[in-house]
This record gives sequence, structure tokens and C-alpha cells, in this order.
Amino acid sequence: MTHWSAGAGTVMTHWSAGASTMMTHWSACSIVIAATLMSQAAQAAPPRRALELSAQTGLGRTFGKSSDRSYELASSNGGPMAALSLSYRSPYLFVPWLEVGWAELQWSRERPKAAEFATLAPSESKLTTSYVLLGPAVEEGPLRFRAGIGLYHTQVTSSFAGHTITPASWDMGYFLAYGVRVHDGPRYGWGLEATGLLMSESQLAYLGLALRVWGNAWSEAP
Amino acid sequence: MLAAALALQACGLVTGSTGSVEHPRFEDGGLLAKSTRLDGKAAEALDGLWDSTEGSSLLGSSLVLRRSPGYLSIFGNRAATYAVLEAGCLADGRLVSEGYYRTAIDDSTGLVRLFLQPPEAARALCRGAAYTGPLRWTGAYGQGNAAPDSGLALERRRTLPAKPTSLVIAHRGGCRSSDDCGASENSVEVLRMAQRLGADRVEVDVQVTSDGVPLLYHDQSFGPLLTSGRYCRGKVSDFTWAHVTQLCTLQYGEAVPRLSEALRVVVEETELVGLWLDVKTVTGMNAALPLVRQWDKIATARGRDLRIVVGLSTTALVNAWLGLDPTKRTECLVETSLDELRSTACRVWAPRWTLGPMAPTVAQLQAEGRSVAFWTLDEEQFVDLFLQQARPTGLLTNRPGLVLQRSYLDAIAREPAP
Repeated sequence: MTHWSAGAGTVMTHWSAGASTMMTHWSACSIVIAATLMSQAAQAAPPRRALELSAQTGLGRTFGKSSDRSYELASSNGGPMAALSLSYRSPYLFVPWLEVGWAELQWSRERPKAAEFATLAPSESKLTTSYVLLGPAVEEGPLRFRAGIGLYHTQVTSSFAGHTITPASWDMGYFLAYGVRVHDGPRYGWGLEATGLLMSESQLAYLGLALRVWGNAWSEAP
Repeated sequence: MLAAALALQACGLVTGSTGSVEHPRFEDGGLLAKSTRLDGKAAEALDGLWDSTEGSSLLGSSLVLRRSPGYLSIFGNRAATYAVLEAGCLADGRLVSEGYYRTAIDDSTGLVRLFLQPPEAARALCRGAAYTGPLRWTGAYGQGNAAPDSGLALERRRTLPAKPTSLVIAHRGGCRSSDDCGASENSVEVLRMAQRLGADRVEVDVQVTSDGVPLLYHDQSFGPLLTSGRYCRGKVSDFTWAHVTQLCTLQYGEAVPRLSEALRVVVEETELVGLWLDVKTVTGMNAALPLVRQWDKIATARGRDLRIVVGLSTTALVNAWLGLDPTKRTECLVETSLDELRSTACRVWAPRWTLGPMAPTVAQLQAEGRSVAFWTLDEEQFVDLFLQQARPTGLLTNRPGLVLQRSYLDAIAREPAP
């Protein structure tokens, strides 16, 4: 179970096997906006040009086609995410970036559905995605808006009837993120980012809130 | 995030909408609930070519009415609209037919209620007696679940020819999931519906699981376009049968059927006379063949006039077929080249329609005693072109009712003048 709060916006994520993630993208946005207000006093002069490495981790909720959940014994509709990204900051309008990441989209334990397997133990299934994305970011003061495109590798892991299967598929998709640099020092900093992973053919979307830390792999003095 | 929210709404992800069309039903079962179902033999007397004398904007003008087990279906060419009705005899002697219409090219649907005229015809058919006079339907149709209020009247012009120019083969068991005919493609439910939709022959697709269970599914991979189930994603061949039952349902909630269950339904629950198994892989073909032989025998023992044909859609499948012990082969169909057709003992060639009507080739193969079935024709203008130019043995289609109507009209046009 995780209780997570920041600034004026507070989101509570009740996280345990069998409970759904309660965070919504609206609360994620409110946290980022609150952090934006907090960040005004924490700004240092950013480098003129920098190659920035960042790591982020957070939690999110998955949206997708509705499905029959009457057999569920326990489930979570979302989960943790983690990502690493590289971006080139400069005085120009667009900041190019590349990101690799991972997110847990679904997890559930379900009673057998078919009569022929009715006496078996419940199935346990998980859906995750790994992704490679790239795109431009626009930065204005402490704020950063990112839009991207890339590939999602959606992976099912499911154990049932004595077998574990791991079917996977590649899918093209999109990415949107809105973040704020709460502390932006000359060599490192931290902030928050609300992200949206949109997997087009899989018809899935994951909306999350992440803590982001970064450091400059290389920078030009201001 | 606003942009993300808008994108999600646009994609239908937040609502989880399937976009399916609800087939309307009469409240409390309509008048049919108070009727005695019309005997199947009597219903055959209603088969024929009918003209719309009122409400032709719904179905078109020249309509084919055809009985299937328990149902009367009317097929028109206006927007490929069809009506699926059930008929019953009321205590006051009237013969009522109720059901729904569905416009194949959009999501229009509504209720239909018709009464057979003249009253003496209704009384005769309800008694099981013959009636040879002119027949009319009078009644109405509506929008959605609203009570029918737009006038609809049909008048029978003539009986149908003994057979249409080309046989109708319904694609993916009856219709594609995206056509929303009331059941998912490649489901046992759509197989049960196929004759109502205008086909006496169907094509289904066969894939095989990692533990060797052949099942009906078109694509190589499970995905949200054809299935529901959060974990129903990835290659069919990566799933065990147990996992398919646990993780996957078809788009409208039906179970993914095993091939053995589909064969049982075709043999035991329908009057279908043709089943084309489009096996997608050599593994699928080898898994399907013992079942085909088994159900061929069962169908014969039950006196069913049913041909189960294995479709060979690639050179790899043709080569695998040629490598089989001849005693293990069944009836087959070749979708590739004419040379490959001739290298096998298959009696049916099934070219894709984009090769054109190929009238001389079709005529030559038919003269050799072979059959030709083009796939997959849905547009009226192309259906007419192929019927008029090539007269193929069969047409595979997602709109069996439209092709049936065009094919009967073509057959009528070819009849010698009296």
C-alpha cells in the first residue's frame, strides 16, 4: 500500500493485490500544477545546452475496452512504471528526446471460465508493456510538454492449467506528458511528470504520475 | 493531459464502447408470442421474388424472400438491407411475420411487422394447405425499438428459380464482426445464423493452439479488433486451449469455438450444405483433417447433404497436401494458381476476385467438372459483373443476402422467354 502526496494536490494510491488503482489523470494533473507553483522559487539558471539523462518512476491507471470481470477474484487496473530518457536541451524551441520504459498495465486472478476447466486453480495473468519512444518537447520556464511516437511491446504472462504462456505483440502508439521541474540545478534536478501512454492497436491507454530525476551527462556553461 | 483525455475519448478507450448495433425486439415478444409458429413446409410456399409496393426505400424494389429453419428472410439490394423474420398463425386466422431489418452498410435497424394477404391465403397456410393465388404482405417497419409505423407492402411476382446463378458462400461463418450481423465472425452463433443471412454454405478460418487444438479464428494473432479479454493478445499459436477459454472471448462475448464444436453445430444444428475450412497453416491443416473425416462420416450417417472442403490458400499448404497419405485427404479447394489446382485432386478453384471474372477460364474448369468460387465480393456492381460475365459456381461474400438476391435476379434474367 502506498500513500503518496505532494504539494496542494494530493493523490492517494491504494495499492495492493486485489484492489484497483484509484488515481485518475485529473489528480495527476493537479499534482503537476501544484508542483509548478512550488517550483517558481527553486529555479536555478539552466545550462545553455545540455545532454540530459533522466530516470523516472511512478504509478498509473490503465484504460481500455471493457471486458467481462465477473470471474475476477483479485485485480489491479494499472501499476508501476519506470523509464529512462535522454534529451538534448537547448535554447531552440523543441527539445528532442528518446525514452525507453516499462509499465504494468493489468493484473488479475480469475476463476476458471470454461466448464471443462472448472475444477482447476484460478488463473493469474499480467499485462505489461515495454516501449521505445521519441519526440519533441517544448519547455517554458519550469514546465515541459512532451509528445512522442514509438513502439510498444505488449506482453502477457498468464499461468493456468499448469502452463505459463507469454504471448507478446508489437504495437505502434503515441505518448503525451506534461511535467514540471521542481528543482533545476546546473548539474541535476528533480520534478514531476504526468504521462499518457497510448497504444493504438492494443486499444489501451495508461495514465500515470511519475517522479523524475535528471542529471546532465554533458552541459555547456550558461 | 486534456489532449490525452480527448484522444482517449476519440479512441473510445474510456467508454470501452464496442460500437455494436443492438438488434431490436418487440416488447413482450410481439404478436408472435401469441401465435403458433408457421410450419416450415408452409413457409416454403412464401419463397419467391417479391416487389415492394410501399416502403421500397427500405429494402429496394425486387426482393428475394427465402425460408430458412425457423425464419423467413427478405433480401434487397438497397444498401444491402435484409430483414430476418419469424412467422406465426394467430388465433383470429391471420398470419403474422415479425422481426428486424438491418442495413449492412451502416447501423440502421428497426422492427418489421407484416401480415399475409389475402386472409384466405393466411388461413390456408396456417392449416398446412396449399395456396396458389397471389400473395401480399402488408404492414410496417420502424426505427430502432420503436413500434413500426412506416408503411411496408410487398407483392409476390413469382417463385424463385430452382437455383441461383452462383451459390452463396458466407465469409467467416456468416458475416464479419465489423458488419455487426448479430454475432461475431467465426463463432458458432454466426454459423447458426448463416442461413438467415442468405447463405447455405459458409467459409470459416482455422488456427491452432500451442497444444494442437484447432479453433475458428481468422487472424494469426488475438487482438482487440476481433476479441475481448484484457490478456487476449498475441499469436494464437502461443496460447494453450485452456488459456484461450480463460483469456479470450469473441467481440460480442461468444466463446472462441474449437473446430470440433463448430463441425458439431454445422452438422447437428443447421441445414448448411457446404463448409469451407480455410486452414491457415500446415499445422492447422494436419490438426483439422481427422476432425473433417470424423464429421464427414457423422454427416453421412445422419443423411446430411453436407460437403466439408479444406481450403489450401498457400503453396506451402498445397505442397503439404501433396505430401499426405492419399487416404488421409478429404475434399479440397485451392486458392493459389491453376497449375497448383491441377497438381492436386481438388475439385474447386477459389481465386481472389481482383483477378477479374476470367470467364473463359471459369467455363473451361466447369467443363472439366470443377467448380470456381471467387473471394470476396461484397459490392453490387462487381457481384453483377461476375455473375453476368463468368457465372462462377460460387461467390464468397460478407453480404450473403445481397449476393443471393443478385444471383437469383441473374438466374431469372437468363430464363428463356415464355
